[in-house]
Amino acid sequence: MNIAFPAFFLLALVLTGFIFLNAFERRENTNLEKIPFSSASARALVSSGIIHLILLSIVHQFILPVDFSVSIKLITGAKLTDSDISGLQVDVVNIVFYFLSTYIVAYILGKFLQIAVLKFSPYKSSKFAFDTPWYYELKGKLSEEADAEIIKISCLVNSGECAYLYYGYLQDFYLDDSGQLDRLVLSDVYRRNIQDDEDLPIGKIAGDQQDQRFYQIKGDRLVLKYDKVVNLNIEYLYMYETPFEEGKTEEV
Amino acid sequence: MKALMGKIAKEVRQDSKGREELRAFITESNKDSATITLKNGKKYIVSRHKPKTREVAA
Repeated sequence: MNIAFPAFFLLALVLTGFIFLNAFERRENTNLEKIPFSSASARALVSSGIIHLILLSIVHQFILPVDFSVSIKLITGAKLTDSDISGLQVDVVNIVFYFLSTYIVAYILGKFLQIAVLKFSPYKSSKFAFDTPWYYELKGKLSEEADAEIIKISCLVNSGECAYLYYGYLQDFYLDDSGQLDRLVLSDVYRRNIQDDEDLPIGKIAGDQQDQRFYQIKGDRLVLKYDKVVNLNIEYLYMYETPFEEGKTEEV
Repeated sequence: MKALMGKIAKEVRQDSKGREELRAFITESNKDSATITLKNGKKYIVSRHKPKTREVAA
């Protein structure tokens, strides 16, 4: 028990940083920042250090004096005296309450910072943008000028001996652990066999003839695995109200 | 994750007539824009290009 307690205490301290980072980098069950574990651990250590420094200062100054010597003994694994142990026993509720409070504060702080980053640095090209390009591409946050309303997806999917072109509006997308696209969810989907294009004479792909090549897929959502997609075309569509209604003239 | 879906796009897709017209626009790759009319008569233009802002004449 004596050997394990410093490790447990350190874990409780560092957990604050991991909670903070998880709240900051996770959105809609997806990690926005893709960094190696070693780097994430270093960031968690620094974050927990800063959070504890701030919170301990507040607690020590305004709520309850903190015996830092016991904390240092716990971290370094130095032997505790009887008075140290009896002091810890008296304050065990306060210590538990402190750690629970830091976890809650770390979570709120992480979410608050995430909201601030997405609000004040919202585009892919922004200085503090997260390192997840697909997030910005498929959320339509490329630049201040691009304020599209919906994304039309056209993609070529190999299915056995045939290659199909799928057209539809992007509804949802899922990223894998490395930040790459995993699945696309489309709605209002049409499919056409690319072989049909070869059978048509050049210059005849127009009007009704073009429509006949499309097969409407019945259903609300079509899920496509990204590893089956050969080509992906992303088209941002803009929508706006008609400038003038019929029968009305512009007033000057 | 939810993909891009603006306020107008949501409104159009929630309207049965609007959704049908928007659906038809998918296959019309030769068209740059189309007018979509909702059941309540409201009209929107769906375009592949960002609309140019109207310049004020001096």
